[in-house]
Amino acid sequence: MRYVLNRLGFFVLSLWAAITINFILPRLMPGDPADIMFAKFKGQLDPAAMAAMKKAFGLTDKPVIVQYFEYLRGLFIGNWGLSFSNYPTPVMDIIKHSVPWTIGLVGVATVLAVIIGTSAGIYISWKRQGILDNTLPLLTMGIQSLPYFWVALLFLFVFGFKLNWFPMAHGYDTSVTAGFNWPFFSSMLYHAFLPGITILLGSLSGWLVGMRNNMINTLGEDYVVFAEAKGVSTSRLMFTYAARNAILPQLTSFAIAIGNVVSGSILTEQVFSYPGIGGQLTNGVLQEDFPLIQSSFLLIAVSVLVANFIVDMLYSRLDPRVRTGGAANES
Amino acid sequence: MKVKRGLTLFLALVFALSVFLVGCGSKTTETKTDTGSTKTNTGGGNSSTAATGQPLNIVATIGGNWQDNFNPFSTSAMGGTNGLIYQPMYYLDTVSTNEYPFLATKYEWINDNKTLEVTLRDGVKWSDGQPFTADDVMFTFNLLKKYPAADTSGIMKEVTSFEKKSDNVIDFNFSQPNVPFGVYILQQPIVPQHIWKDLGDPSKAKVTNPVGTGPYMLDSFTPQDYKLKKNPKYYDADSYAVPELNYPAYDSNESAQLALVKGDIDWTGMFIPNVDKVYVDQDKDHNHYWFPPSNPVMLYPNLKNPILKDINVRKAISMAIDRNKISQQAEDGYAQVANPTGMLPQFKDFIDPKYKDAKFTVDDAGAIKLLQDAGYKKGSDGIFVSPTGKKLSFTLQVVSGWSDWVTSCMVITQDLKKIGIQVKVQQPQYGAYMTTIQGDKYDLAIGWTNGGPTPYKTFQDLLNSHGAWNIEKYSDPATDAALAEYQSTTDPAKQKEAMSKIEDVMVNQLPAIPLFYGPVWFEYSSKKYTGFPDQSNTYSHPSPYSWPAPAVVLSKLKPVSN
Repeated sequence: MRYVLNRLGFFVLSLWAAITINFILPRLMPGDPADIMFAKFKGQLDPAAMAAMKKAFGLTDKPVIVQYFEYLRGLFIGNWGLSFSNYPTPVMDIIKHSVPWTIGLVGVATVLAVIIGTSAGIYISWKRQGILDNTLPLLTMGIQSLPYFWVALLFLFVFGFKLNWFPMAHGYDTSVTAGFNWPFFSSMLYHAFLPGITILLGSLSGWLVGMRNNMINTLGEDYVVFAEAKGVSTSRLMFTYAARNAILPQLTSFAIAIGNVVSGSILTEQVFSYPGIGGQLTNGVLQEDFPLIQSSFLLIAVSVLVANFIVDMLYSRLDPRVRTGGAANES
Repeated sequence: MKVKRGLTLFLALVFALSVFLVGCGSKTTETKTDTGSTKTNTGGGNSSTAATGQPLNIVATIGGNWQDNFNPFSTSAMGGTNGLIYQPMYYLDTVSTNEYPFLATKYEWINDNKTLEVTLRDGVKWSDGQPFTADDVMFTFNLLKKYPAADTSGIMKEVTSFEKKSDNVIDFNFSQPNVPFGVYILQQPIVPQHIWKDLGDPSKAKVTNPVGTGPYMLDSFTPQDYKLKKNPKYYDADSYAVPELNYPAYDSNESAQLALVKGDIDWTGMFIPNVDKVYVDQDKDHNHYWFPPSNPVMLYPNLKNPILKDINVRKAISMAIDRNKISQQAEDGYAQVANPTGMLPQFKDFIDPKYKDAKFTVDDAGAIKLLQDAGYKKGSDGIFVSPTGKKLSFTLQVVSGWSDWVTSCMVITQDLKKIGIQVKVQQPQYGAYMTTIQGDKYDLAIGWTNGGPTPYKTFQDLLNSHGAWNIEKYSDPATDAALAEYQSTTDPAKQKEAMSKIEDVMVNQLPAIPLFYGPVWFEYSSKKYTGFPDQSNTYSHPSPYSWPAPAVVLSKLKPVSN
């Protein structure tokens, strides 16, 4: 229990720090966003209009501490400000429309990469020096070493443009009606295939090689050898004895990967014109849309923190030593 | 075993959660029908206007998901809002210099050119069936007066009052004649009073069900695609053959370019390197492009800088720059080299006969001689030093990532180095670039000029001491007077006379150094429709992004019979 409270306290503290840094950083940047907007009008705007715009953007002359509490309050009631580049659309709307696509695409691709990579890692470690063990790690590492947006462009060109097997853009076909129906769902999967496979291939090797090496280490441990000698069944030996311990480092990586879902696919989404947050964030940065940038970064920070918290909790279930600070004799 | 189950459960949960969230997302992107009772028709098979042709796929801008906003006062409204859905009274084209009447049929300067009198068209209806009246126009301009944030053209700075003279005539009164300013009044999109009276501040309103007078209306909207369909109540509906306009969202030039080459896009305006090979050669019969010049790109010297204030230095810089090399290396040969007056080819009637054949030529020896005669001496490092002992070493500002201009800057740097002027290119972000050049904290900068339906706008902004784009800080009472002369008259002969004074300033004073004309990007396929503007038929600004020009182009399109 103390461990849980401890972790929870750390979570809240780091969340507060992330939120606060997010508040301070844009205010340290040179140039006022209203000036940038003003510049866009190339001098046709009255100074009165500029004052009105500053007000609309929430750029007030109030004391910083007041602004800070208004910002905190806005965060909690879902008022994340209005986007500058898509003024007057609330940032919340942009995020609401794009984040689910990213979580769907990158989230599923990441989870698949973990499942496939980890199981394949277990398998090839068991069949060590087999044909798969000799080829798979090399092959996946080869793909991973290519820049992922380059792979995305290559796939787009070959499978979308030349062979015409897959659509080249968008999250689903514009002729189907979005909703809970099979034509939409199949169209969505069809459109997600190319960007999904790019992300999957780009991250598979880490999971595969990581798990394989952990397994090989664990399988060499005395207790595994002893269990094997005692005649423990193969599957039990593999999963309960070896994999349970070998999977711990994978879990840590998984937390980081889940945390990076929101930010990890920016270029892939751009290449495939996928309606996720990645493309929005790129545009936000290009157009200096501070509320959008700020909210996206906050989202990324929060997802990393939440994922870490969940894995911390999970870790304590899997490995009792973390709860007790190394005193191994509790359980 | 327990652990394994726990892990599987966790992974299953994550998976289920993602699927669920995707489901949520899809709900928010549900297709919407508009105010009318007609159902969305995506098949294009049996709608009332389908007999006239197929839908047109248009990519006007590239950049992320669409945001559901069709507010003509908003600078980030969806393309088509201005021109296709809401209409201005007139459209004055910047490429063809033609004038196209929309909600008005006539405009006239009266009262010593201090009043703009506009006569409105009869029999116009809003797309919801309500009649369009002069009160709607009065209401729209009253909105601008009440909410300055919506008045992005600064109309109320110039217009002192406006009044309804009769049921279809409105007068706009100026404190002093300003004929070229009329374009902002004439091109202001007009909104319906019966709907907008309840919307409050127009700069903050989000409009998802637009009701306009234009030839098209919103059919359906999703963040990755929106469709416009023909407005059956439009007063000139017969002129529009295209029944449906489809605007898919693209995130990157790469994917849009591939889609264009594949034939998924019929009309777009984007930069494509080597367009003949990449696009035209794929389907020579149907794939076309036309890149007419739209606005002069300049090398701006900061005239507050004591060395750049010396006309000899500016002349030497101009003489050393190889503009043909810039056009070929940086602009793929698409950009035409500028005339020394900076006057666009479409305004050739304004060019003083003595400058008709004027051309920039590279003359390194002449540039060096000019500097030496003015008292500059080369230092041991080959860089000139001014009589006051300052090195001719300048920074050159360009927006980072605007690759064609960055390349232009590299060419300029090399050219100037040859004659003994040192240039260091700086590439700040757009916002920082704007702050730097507007706050005259720069030496040299490459930048655009503003375009307009006549040459006035470009030079008023560039050269007037209070000009909106006078970033070089030029100030000359005679120039201001010439510009005032131009704006006070409707007589073309007097306007030309005033303009030739401006041309003298441009050629002899070099307040800004013309480089080349920035091209309009425009590619189209004639597979479904013909009648797009091209070099032999330059009736309108051709790109699909320069609103409201597409309303003109669409009215000229004819379906290909098959």
